[in-house]
Amino acid sequence: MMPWSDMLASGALPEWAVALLSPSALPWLVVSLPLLGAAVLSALSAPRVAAWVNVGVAALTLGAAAALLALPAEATGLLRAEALNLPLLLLAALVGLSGAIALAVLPPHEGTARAFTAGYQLLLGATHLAVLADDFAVMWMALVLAVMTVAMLAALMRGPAALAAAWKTVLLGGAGAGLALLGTMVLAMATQPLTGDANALSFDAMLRVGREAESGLLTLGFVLLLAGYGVLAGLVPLHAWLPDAQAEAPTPLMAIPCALLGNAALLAVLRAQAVASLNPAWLPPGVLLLLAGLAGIGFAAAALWRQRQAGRFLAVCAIGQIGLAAFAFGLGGPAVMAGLLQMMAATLALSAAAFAIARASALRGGADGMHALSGLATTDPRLGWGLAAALGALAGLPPLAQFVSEFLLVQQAVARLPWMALPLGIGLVALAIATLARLRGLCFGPAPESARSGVAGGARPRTPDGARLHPSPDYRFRAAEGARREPTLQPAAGAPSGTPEAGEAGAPDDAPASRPAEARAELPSGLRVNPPGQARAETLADPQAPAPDPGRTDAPVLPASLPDNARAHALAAIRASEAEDSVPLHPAGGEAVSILILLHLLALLALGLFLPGSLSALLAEAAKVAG
Amino acid sequence: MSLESIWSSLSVSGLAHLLGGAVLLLSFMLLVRRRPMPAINGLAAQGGLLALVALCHAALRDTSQLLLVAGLLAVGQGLLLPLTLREWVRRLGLRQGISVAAAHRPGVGLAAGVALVLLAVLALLPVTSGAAMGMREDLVLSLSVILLGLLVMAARHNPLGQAIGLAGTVNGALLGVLATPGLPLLPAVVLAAMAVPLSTVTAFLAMRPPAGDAG
Repeated sequence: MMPWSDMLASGALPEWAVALLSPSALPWLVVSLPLLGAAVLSALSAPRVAAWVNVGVAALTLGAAAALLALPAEATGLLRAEALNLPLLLLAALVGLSGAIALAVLPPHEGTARAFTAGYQLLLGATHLAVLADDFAVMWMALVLAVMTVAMLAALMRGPAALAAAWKTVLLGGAGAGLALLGTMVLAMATQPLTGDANALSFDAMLRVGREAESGLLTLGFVLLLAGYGVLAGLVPLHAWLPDAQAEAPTPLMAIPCALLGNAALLAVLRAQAVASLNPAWLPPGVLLLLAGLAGIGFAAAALWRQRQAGRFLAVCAIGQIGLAAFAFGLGGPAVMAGLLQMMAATLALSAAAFAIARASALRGGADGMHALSGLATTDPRLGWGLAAALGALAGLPPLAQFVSEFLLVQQAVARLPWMALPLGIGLVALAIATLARLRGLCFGPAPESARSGVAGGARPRTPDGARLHPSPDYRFRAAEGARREPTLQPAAGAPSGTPEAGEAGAPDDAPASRPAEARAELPSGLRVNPPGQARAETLADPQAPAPDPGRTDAPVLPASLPDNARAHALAAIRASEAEDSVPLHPAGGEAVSILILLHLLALLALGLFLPGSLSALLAEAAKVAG
Repeated sequence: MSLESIWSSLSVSGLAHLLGGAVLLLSFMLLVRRRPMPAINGLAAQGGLLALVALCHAALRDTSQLLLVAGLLAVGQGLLLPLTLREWVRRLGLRQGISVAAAHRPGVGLAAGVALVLLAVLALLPVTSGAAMGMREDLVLSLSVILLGLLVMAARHNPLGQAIGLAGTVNGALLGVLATPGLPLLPAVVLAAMAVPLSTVTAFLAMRPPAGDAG
């Protein structure tokens, strides 16, 4: 390939293009394109146009990021592309593009699309800036912007639950930002006498002078940065905001912004570790990362079994994967390569799983409980198998990239810290078992009745004698309230508790007009459909009622005495009413999502079977820098 | 360097540390004040003190950047943030209402705060044995204010109290920023740090449901 400077000087390009593509301006282009896109998108009101502008900006950013590969390595400045950040930047731009396409065919919840796409591009710009920044202060500013953007995205549904999740994100992220800022300043105090004023916080300059810097200050700075950025990365004792933010976001695609933020924050921790380990003091910096990594793996292995909501499930998967990467960075040396590979593979697999879950959720009428999404392979084989492959990659199944990185990680652990290999091995096996068990339920378990009878997104269900079921109108305030839980069915007050007459299920088409609007849909056996908020309120009002069991909220509660066909009708009515509320399905959505998942899986396969030559060279160099 | 100039620089750096100590004292006040208005006033005073600290450092280091930063701090932390918090209190009618302090026994909170400051001192002094003395004091003050802010955040159960704790945390980090000599991007960093509590409070005011008991 022609050297970059020759290509620019050849005269084939106009003046402005040469100026834009010069080595000092190109990194800024990668950052400013998404930020400009965010500004444009926040002003665009036409959803179709906005979706394609989103895709176009993401594609341009990917092009600019790919052009960074051709840049000469010795470029300097506030932003610098180097071996350590280029793989993650390319990955972020790639996932940013596929996420933008997915957003175009799987729009988020009604009324939030415009803010979500604008926030999405803002986050892409902020994380690209954080990844590219050579200066720790610029990195800090970018990460603060990114975490505030994630909090904004989590708040878009505006219900009490969403606002609480956003508030949690802001508080924890703000506290983390404060600690990280102090850590940055401590690093600057340690190295500033040696580097000089102009680049007191440059990562490159710090690496050069780190050996002579004051060791106590370096270690203190690293500990503060780990505590601060660990919040944003989702390292385990500090991860509390991540599942809430993902669960309350308007779409399961929220997993992508959260994963990109986590990658950028963990890269910042890795850089601080690289500087601090040049002159370690009382505490080798890797130890804390090793412990946080093990805690993350253990937490995910234990918590994966309990997740009942798709967003939370993906968040816990992400916490486990970040834990693996943190463990690898803590080991240091060639294991850094495994950690970087792990981060890249995890982001690819998590986003593929998010596409599949977002599509499945749209197909099943906006449901997002794990129970309501189960059995995908029977109702929608392509989607189910795609999701199974993505989750299999997260579990570390052989031909895909995670297997390679985990293999490398275990090998390094055995070689360098044999006594750490045992807990790592146990954690890996437990994590794989938990992921595979949830995979089995989600993809190959029994599908809910409504999905099997083909209700989702389509016509309302009918009773055996042809009458249509009318769900209650007040059920709709699920969307207004912002609660993302499945409804519960409770026996209506005064309803006979005996065996119901299933034949009288539902009302004929003309009946609802004669009923008072506030009378909730009488389902078979005197059940009525209660919106979750109301169900909660009634439970509070009745002191005799048992406390609501949070674990069971995503499975409709039906009395055991209900005959099977009545149960089916009740469930079908609920699902159909949800389908009316949700956004209409994109006609080409199924194909587009399948192709996206397939491309991600191919990338994972390529990373797993043969590392592309230039990428493996980059990763090896990165391991040399940071190990 | 003449003796006089050394004397003057010593006294100015001593003044900066004194003001830093006053910021720490105000953090303790945030911990024990029970009504929202006095807590907000304490926060405003903290912002003003930060601006004075920046002025002291500007006199010590002789940079015009720090004068700009002092102005930014006075306007942002000393004026805008307290005014926004006052607006929050006014909208919710909290003036006579809920207390922002969860602790009914202020002694417990005070003891926890003192323990945190001791922790910061004991943890930092051996670690930073090689650093200059002034820098160590600044670090201890800054970390203590951050930890007290985190304690305020953890001890409050209402959003207003938590926002005040967040602002206290950021003030502590800003104290550390001001103590670091020779930062090239100082005004930008200070602006970004001030934006964290301000944007949080503004966004909460804009997005919270029109009626509710959050406050």
